[in-house]
Amino acid sequence: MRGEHRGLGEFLIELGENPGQLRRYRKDRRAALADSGLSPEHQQLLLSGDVKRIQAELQREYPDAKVFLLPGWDDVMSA
Amino acid sequence: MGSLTVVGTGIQLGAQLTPEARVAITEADEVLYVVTDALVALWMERLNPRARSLQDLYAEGVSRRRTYDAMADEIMAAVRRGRDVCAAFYGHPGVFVDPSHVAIRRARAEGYPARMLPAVSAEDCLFADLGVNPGAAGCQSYEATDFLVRRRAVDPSAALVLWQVGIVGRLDLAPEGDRSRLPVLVEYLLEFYPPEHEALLYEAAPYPACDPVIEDVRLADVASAPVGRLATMYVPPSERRRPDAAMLARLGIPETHLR
Ligand SMILES: C[S@@+](CC[C@H](N)C(=O)[O-])C[C@H]1O[C@@H](n2cnc3c(N)ncnc32)[C@H](O)[C@@H]1O
Repeated sequence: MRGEHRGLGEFLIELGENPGQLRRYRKDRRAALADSGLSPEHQQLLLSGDVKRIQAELQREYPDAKVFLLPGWDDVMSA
Repeated sequence: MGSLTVVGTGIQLGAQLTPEARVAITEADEVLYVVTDALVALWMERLNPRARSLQDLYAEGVSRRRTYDAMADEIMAAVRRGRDVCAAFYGHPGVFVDPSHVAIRRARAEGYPARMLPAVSAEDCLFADLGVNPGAAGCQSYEATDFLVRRRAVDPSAALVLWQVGIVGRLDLAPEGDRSRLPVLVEYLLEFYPPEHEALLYEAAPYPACDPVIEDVRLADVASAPVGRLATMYVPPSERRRPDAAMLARLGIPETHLR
């Protein structure tokens, strides 16, 4: 099902690389996402702006890339 | 002959890389990088297929100092092989990073051209996202462990930025962070601030589509707060410093000119 949609990581890299596209995204997230080619689930996820959930999803997209869970946003150590 | 350019990737993927740093990465014979995020790593390797991570040099139980020496060694080995080397670190490459400075000094000492380019640091993002002007009351910036170990003096009338609070008290790698020494930090801060004084725990967004994570927390409650591994703590001034009348007179500044 994902096959016909664009990858989340690809989209984020493109957004970072293209300041014009980033500006449009910041102005109107919904419109930019509607044109993004991302799956509806990934569009919803990005609308949330929730870093931890986005990183968890990236981890699924790139199962070999361990660093998502390494130094950061998985956050918090249990008390 | 080899050369070294040290660059920062900024904190947020893509948009915070300066045009000059980008060219240093894409045109290097070899890129050695240290980043905190797999997507940034992927992007580095796209910008230059001759890029490789120095992340493996980190190991639990090994002091960060030894790891940093090993990073500088790797960088210098590539320079000595006659390569145009780019070393890329996340944020600003010279801000709260050691191996970048060590490598530059070593390269110059051995006669290689070496230069560091400035970049966007976590503190730069903090000033923007929290709406803080460090010039308004002055700003103290410390590494959290160093702050405690040296009992750094605090001026509560100026802002305070504490780096590496998510691993305070640790000198080695703590991949998941380590909150166990936060009570010591709180105890020390309470020597200077009232317990109800509010600090902000800040994590800048790593990707362009994300929001920063900002937590308000009373100083007394910091030890039980969700302190992320990459969090920076901002403590606003808790008091105002009065201008000194004698100094104003010496400088010829009328008191009415100061807010
Ligand atoms: C080894 S220092 C590297 C700093 C980096 N060179 C810079 O210019 O920001 C790591 C510390 O930077 C700060 N830091 C790094 N990424 C951050 C982020 N996304 N948000 C807030 N602070 C961050 C935290 O205080 C963290 O413990």
